[in-house]
Amino acid sequence: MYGMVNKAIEQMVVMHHGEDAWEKIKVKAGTSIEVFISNEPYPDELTYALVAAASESLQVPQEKLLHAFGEHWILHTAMQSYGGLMRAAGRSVGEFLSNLPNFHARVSMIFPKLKPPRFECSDITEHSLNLHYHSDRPGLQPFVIGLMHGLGKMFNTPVEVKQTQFKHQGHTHDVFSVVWA
Amino acid sequence: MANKFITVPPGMLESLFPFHFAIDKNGVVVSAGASIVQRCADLNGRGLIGSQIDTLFYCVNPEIYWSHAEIRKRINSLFLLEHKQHPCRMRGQFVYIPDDDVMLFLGSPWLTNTRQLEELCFTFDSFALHDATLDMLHAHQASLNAIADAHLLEEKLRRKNLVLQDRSVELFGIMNALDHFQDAVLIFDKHDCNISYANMSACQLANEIKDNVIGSSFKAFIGKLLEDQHKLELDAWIGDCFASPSLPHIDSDDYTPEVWQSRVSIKKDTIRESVYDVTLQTVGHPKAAMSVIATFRDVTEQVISGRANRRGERLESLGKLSGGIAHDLNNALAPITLSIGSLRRLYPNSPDILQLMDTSVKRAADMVRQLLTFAKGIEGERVPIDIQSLIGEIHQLVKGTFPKNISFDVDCPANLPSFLGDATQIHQVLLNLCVNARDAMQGGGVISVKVYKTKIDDAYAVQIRDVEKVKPGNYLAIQVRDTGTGIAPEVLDKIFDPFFTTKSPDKGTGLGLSTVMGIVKSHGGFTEVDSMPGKGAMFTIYFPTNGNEQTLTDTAVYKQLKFFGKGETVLVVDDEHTIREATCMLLRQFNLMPIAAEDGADGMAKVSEHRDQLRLIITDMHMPNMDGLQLTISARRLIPKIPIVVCSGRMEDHVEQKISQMDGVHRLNKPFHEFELLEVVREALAPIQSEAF
Repeated sequence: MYGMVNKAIEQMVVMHHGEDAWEKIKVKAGTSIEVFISNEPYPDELTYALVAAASESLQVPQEKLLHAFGEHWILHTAMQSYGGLMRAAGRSVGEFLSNLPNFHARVSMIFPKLKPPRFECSDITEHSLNLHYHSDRPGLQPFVIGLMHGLGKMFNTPVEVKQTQFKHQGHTHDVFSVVWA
Repeated sequence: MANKFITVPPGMLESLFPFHFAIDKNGVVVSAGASIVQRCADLNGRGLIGSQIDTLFYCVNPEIYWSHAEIRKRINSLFLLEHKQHPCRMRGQFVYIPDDDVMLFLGSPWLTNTRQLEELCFTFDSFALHDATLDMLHAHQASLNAIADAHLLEEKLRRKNLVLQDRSVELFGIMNALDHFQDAVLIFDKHDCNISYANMSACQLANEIKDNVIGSSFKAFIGKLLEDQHKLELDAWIGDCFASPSLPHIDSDDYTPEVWQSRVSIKKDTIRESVYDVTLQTVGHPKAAMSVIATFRDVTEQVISGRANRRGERLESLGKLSGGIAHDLNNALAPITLSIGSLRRLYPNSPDILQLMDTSVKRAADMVRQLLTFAKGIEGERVPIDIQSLIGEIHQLVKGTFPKNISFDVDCPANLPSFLGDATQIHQVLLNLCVNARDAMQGGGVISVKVYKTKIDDAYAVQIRDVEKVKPGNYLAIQVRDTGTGIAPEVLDKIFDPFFTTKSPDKGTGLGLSTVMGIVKSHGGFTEVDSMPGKGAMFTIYFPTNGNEQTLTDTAVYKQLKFFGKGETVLVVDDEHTIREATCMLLRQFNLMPIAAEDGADGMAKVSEHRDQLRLIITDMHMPNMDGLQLTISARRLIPKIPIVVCSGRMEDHVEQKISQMDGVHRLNKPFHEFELLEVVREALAPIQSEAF
């Protein structure tokens, strides 16, 4: 996972619970890294450990935490780091989601060491689409749902997300039905 | 296969190159992509198509005038165009299309940061998918993010550095405080036992400078100080404690540090040895860098004080026992002492037997006095002591009574300061020491007595505090040294205990040195002993001279008693029949009229009965029913000015204090000799006799 993800977790914890809470989470997760470099790859295990430690330390279930983290990612982290590109990616939820596959494709081409998830859109209508989420990383579906809700907030558009296909049930990937107003 | 010419339809050209335009040989834009058309209309609203290119764009690179010929010359250049009215710049290349005789520009917006996307109203859809502009912007933004990360890291490091600076100030303060800490404190590493910290006390303990201690091995540090047994114990503990595979976590609440404690003796130099409580304790660290903190606390004073206290308790209990015995012995001896004078007068032809009796009783009385001195310390009259004269007396006594193979060497210069003391007791002290010296030199030898003045400073007073609570100041020291058998180290601590003796039962009571110590102590002095088996012993007694350096008088000289009563009525109160009778008999012989009473209550009745004739009351102190103090107070109520003599072998401090505050109340120590009784009677009756004349 690249550093921006870990940095996002840090930002979210510090924003809501302060630096001391984050320091304790880092100790619990067994890391003493001071600053996560956004575009540097870090072991996936570290990210999972940080999420688990934050969940334990803040007494918040991991699923809820990942969802909140998805929203935070869109509204704060991505907007801070790639604000111009985020805004250029679309003027609406539908436009943004349509461009999302290429967005990630560009990132993976620029940083070949990174392994971002792959997105595909299908069944695109004016107010809905099916988002296909391809990732080898298990358990991040609540994060994706949080991302969608974060997008809705970014465009001030109510968004409903429902997972319609589950990788853990033997499918090749997860699919989310995204409907917006 | 031959190359196939592909003609691109305008719609596809638009899709593939949204930022294209074509100019004819006159410089007029004849075709343009939608994205460029949308952004590059002139301020008058004229569209791009149909306009002269030179009215809309500067060719910034290469710097040329717009013409087909100029462009064709630079056909391999990267062209950078800048709109004359809008903040729109494009970069791209020109290709010549001969069939249409047009120059076709294929390019993209020239953007240097992602903000410009918004400023120029670009979205991803503005660009052809193959356009690398967005990739460049991604990469550019990523590098900006990396720079932001670097700044964040720098800021965090700066803050950490500030915290570290504060901590280092705190640490410096702590280290400075620890350097002034009396306990020696060291910290050493678990892996190599190397000392990482040592305070000043630790360096002083090792007699090394700090640079030599820090970095050295703790094992080497203790190697210089501890005995082998403790070194082995410590080595084993260090080995055991660090062999444990589970290392404590600093956040772990259930971490119990390993501790080693022991009390050890450490030689500070060839003479002085100090006692230390040594504690070693492990200190955990999250990174498993376990260390050990070692402290050495000097408890010498505490140990010595504890020893002295225990000894004091021992002496106190013995003292109480001795006091009781002495009281009874006094009562038994008193009638004999008093009767000898009468017997001499009755049996003038048996002087030898009576002399023998007298000597024996005196010896017994001396023993009782020694017991009492030890038990409480008899406070005799304190007069300036002429030590030269006193030692002269001892010299004469030793010369006359000690074996001839023992010589007596005196070094007692003139003009030594005197001190306030009880001459009899000081005499007793010196004689006891000389007798001990004699007994330690069965084959003969030399007793050397040296007297000198000395000053005890604070440091020395602290060093000898184990003996007594010694006050710094000026002292007169009297040193008695012999060349005898010496004293074994294991008994040195006990020699001042009462009843401790190395002599055979017929030669010593075991009270000699305890009496010496008691007397010296009661004079505010202290005693030192130094001895090695086979090399003799040296006792030094110190008497404080501060403020006591008075002119000598001859008060210590006994005066010949010349007293004869005038028939005065004297009440004699004592619960001991024999003492009472002997006292009355003696008083009668000296023309006094004794009335006997058997206790305080009886005495009070007699006072009441004979109040008009009564001239003197002689009373014992310790009696049943009513004691001597009570009788004194009651009798004074009836006959306010009647002189009273209170006799006692021992007297409690508060009783003594009360009596001393009463006029005309005299004190007589038991057992008393005939002349002592008559002397105090004469003194007590003197004002009355004067009045009579």
